[in-house]
Amino acid sequence: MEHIQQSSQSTTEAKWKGKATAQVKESNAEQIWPCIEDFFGLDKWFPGISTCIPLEGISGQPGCVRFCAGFKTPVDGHDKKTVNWTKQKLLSIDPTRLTICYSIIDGNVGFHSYVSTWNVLPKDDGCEIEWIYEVEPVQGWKLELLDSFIHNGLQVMAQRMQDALKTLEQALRVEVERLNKQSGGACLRFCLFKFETPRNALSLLSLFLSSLRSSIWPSMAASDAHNGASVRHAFGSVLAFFILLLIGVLAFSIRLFSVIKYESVIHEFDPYFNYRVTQFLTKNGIYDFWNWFDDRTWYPLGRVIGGTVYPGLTLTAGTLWWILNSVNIPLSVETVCVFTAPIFSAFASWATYLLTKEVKGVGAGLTAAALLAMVPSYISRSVAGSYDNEAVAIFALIFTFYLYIKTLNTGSLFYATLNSIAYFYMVCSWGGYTFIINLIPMHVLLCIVTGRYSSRLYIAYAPLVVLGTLLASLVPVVGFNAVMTSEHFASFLVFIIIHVVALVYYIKGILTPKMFKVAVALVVSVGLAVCCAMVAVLIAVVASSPTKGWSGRSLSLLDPTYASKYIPIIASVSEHQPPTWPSYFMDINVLAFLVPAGIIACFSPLSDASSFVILYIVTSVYFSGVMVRLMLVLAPAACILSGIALSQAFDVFTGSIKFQLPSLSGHSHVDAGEASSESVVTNDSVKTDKSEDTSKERTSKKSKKKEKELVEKPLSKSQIKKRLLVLPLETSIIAIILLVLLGAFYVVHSVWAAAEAYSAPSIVLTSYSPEGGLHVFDDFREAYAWLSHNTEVDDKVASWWDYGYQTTAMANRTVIVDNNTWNNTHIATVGTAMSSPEKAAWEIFHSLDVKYVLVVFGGLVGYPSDDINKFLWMVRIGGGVFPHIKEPDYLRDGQYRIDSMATPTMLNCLMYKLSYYRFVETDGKAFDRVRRTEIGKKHFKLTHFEEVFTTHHWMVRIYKLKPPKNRIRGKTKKSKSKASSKTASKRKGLKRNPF
Amino acid sequence: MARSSSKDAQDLFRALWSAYSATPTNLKIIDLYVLFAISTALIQVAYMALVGSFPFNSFLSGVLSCVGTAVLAVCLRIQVNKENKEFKDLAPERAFADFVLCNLVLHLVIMNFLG
Repeated sequence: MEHIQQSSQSTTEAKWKGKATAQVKESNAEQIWPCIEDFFGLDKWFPGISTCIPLEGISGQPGCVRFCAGFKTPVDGHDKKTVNWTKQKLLSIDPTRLTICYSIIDGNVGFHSYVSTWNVLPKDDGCEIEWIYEVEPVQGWKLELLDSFIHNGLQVMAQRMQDALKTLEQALRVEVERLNKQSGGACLRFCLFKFETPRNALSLLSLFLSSLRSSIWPSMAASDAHNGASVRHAFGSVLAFFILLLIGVLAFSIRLFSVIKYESVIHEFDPYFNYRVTQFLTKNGIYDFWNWFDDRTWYPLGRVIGGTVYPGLTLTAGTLWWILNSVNIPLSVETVCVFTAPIFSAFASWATYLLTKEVKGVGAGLTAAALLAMVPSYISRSVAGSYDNEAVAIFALIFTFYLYIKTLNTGSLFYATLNSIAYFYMVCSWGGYTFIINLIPMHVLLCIVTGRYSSRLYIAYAPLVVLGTLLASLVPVVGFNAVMTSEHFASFLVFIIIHVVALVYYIKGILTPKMFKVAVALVVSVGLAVCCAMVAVLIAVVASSPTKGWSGRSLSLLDPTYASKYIPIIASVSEHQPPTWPSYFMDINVLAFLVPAGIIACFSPLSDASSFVILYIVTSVYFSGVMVRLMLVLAPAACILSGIALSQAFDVFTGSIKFQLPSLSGHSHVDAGEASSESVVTNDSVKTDKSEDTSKERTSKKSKKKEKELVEKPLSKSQIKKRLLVLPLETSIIAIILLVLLGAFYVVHSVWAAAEAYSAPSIVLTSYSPEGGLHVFDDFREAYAWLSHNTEVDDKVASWWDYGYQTTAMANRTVIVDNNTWNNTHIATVGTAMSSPEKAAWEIFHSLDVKYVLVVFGGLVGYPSDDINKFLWMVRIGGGVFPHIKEPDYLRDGQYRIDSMATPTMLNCLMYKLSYYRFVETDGKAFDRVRRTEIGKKHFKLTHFEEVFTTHHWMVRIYKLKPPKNRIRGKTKKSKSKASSKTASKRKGLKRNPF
Repeated sequence: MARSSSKDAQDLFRALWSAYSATPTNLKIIDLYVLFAISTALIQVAYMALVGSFPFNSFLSGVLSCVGTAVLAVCLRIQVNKENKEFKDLAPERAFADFVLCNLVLHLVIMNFLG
């Protein structure tokens, strides 16, 4: 459309303008549109045009050029010998608004800067074709002549289109009637019979598909089921439906490796907590769940579970379980929990399809959905059994984005409502919702700044902020944070800005430009003052808000070094570390290379939706660079962009193949048109020469190839011309093969990642012995089972916080700290106890009423993530609160070691003793397989703890606190003997050290 | 300078007024509704500033319900405005149905949040 404005400005003379319309009574706009859309098929419709052939490009893509010849104009005399011809270029096409715009770029009928627009306007009865045209005054013509020429032509066109559609409809109706006569049982025989004539079979198939579609979308299909274009559409959408179904199955089944290779268990740490909460929910109901005060964790503090947990996942699985049970499918809660993540990853890939479809069409959507179904990064968080928030949150994230884009594209308040409800679900599911509530305002701001504001943007954003904020504050864990913390202020700021902008646009709309300038001058002076006041108020509010700004996790996102400086408890979690380069390749694989291409594809043309996707990828790349866990947010963006890139590439390559193959076979047909297009060639042959020159400057190989083409040149000039605009056949075939190979590589990698890297449940470990035998380490469950069978129900078990969730869920015993790290002091207390000498540790534990201490030890079997390897974090976290624990005391020359060179503090701390107690009895040398060294102190006795249970592979060791002596005389004696025994053991250790 | 700008301002307001008085009556009614909602919100904010924001959820739901009502009404106004080319396909009945649905959700949430 911009093109028209430019050309109209450039002409000094007043242009001729006009409009012709034609009514089509019996066909609706969607039926007529394919005829209009067929840019190279004008000869079928416009009267008198004997030739219409493609010159450049692909039909229906802006920039393509057609050559039309043979029509009669009103100024032609009867004796005219030469043929009339024009070259027409497609400027723009919009299938959603049913409008097409083209110009005449060359011709012998004297039309200069002719631009015309065809609109198909839906009417109550049929539709109307509108032909708007403008042209510089044509020599020898009158405006009336042109008007009547176009008007008559359009009437004939409309009539022809209508006739053609009617023929099609009748043919199909006969076919349908014939079909209806067949009984259901005879249908198969009928089909078989029909397949003898392939053409009939095809039409039958498409008919069948269209009827299928009409059963799926009855309202849509009612009017246009018997139409050719809709048959094609129906075929496409049914195919898309089945592809999506398969993608869903793929997404689900690729995540089942963990169940097949191990068993149907809940994985890791956090999922156990979620599982326990779900159990509570299904047993006690939703109201008890909201009020649940859990006294089995964080002893003696307890924890308000209902108010501190993101309930989305639990409620989802609970609802699933409830539905299944109410239809008499008696699955256990555990089974439902195990399979929640795979189910939701199928949903997530469908949501990706929807989102990408809104951005770049169905093809890109399907590709993106297929990519997301098996992106390793997402698989790592959603294998069967990985029952964690992210499993449903990624679906919610993508779906919220989809609804936002959908609202933005349609401007419908209905979708805006759905969008805020999807956002509510996201808030329920994951703390990552702040990403949404910051990304969408950023996009709105981007649109406003780049001058893309529209009322659709207002409808997409303003209701979302109000409804979203309210809904978010309904979630207990968020509560007033939704209006109090700085994470949400960006959205309010943009909310104000969009109102100001909306008002400005509105006033601009109702005022004359001159008055608007006056208004701007007036408002700018007043508005600046108001804005300053607003900003000042906002800053004041931020400064006075109770959290004084941002929460720790968000701050560590904005400043990557923040966590390691100030919050060891965040930094200690491995998934909060910045990722390494290999982890990018591991997690998104080839997508990393496709993303830049996708970004470029999004820029042509840049729409509101594609700018959103670009913003999404840019921000998520940043966040993934800060925290390895947020790679998960990057994965969908990478999939969407790679899907766009792949589908665009396939479009170009297959398009150019399709373009060339018929031209080889239909050689004679092209030649016929060439005679008349001789004069057209001159312009383009210059172009050909130029490109020859440049190619000769390149490698000799290429110039040779070009020479070959030069020989062919005299044979068919037009073919070479076409070839310049599309890729060579060989190149596109090779490129397609390479792309398919790339995709295959991605699939192989993803399946490997799903099967080998990410399926281990981490509570059941396996290893392959050199002989090839499989060895299973089931020590964790062994230990938890021992706890639940051999200890009192109210006994308290102390361990490092990693194992808190598992202990409460599997052993049903009260723990001191768990993976919800809400109370730093409490964790530091446990850390201090672990890093203290035995007696001090005993006192700390005794004061916490602890009966048993559980440590995880991997030295015997080489399990690397054991407590000794985590020990430095215990020291750091403990030292952060209790300064008498100093990290340097545990390090020898800055090195962390447990061999004979270790510091005495290290060798005497509780963690060391509990881990290595009696370790020397296993092999006589006490060789630690994880640290690959002999331990420093081998023979010692425990004075305040006694070993009660050690699992099969020594991976979990459970100790009991010795009861305190209650007689004073005895106590003094005992302590003396303790001291002596301690020194004795020390001496022993020292003596043995040299060996 | 000052006189000319004040004259400009007068012209401006006259132009604004004449342009606005040309808008259809149904849009004017919506505008009145929006104004009413906004003024209610302002009254609540003023009350909060005087008395304090103790039942914070009541204050929040009160203000947000007003703001939400206003925002939704503005959306409705955008959609039923005949001069707005973007929504010429959208029937006013459909726009109103969407508006009612959105309001329903909004006020259900408000009632829930009111405490």
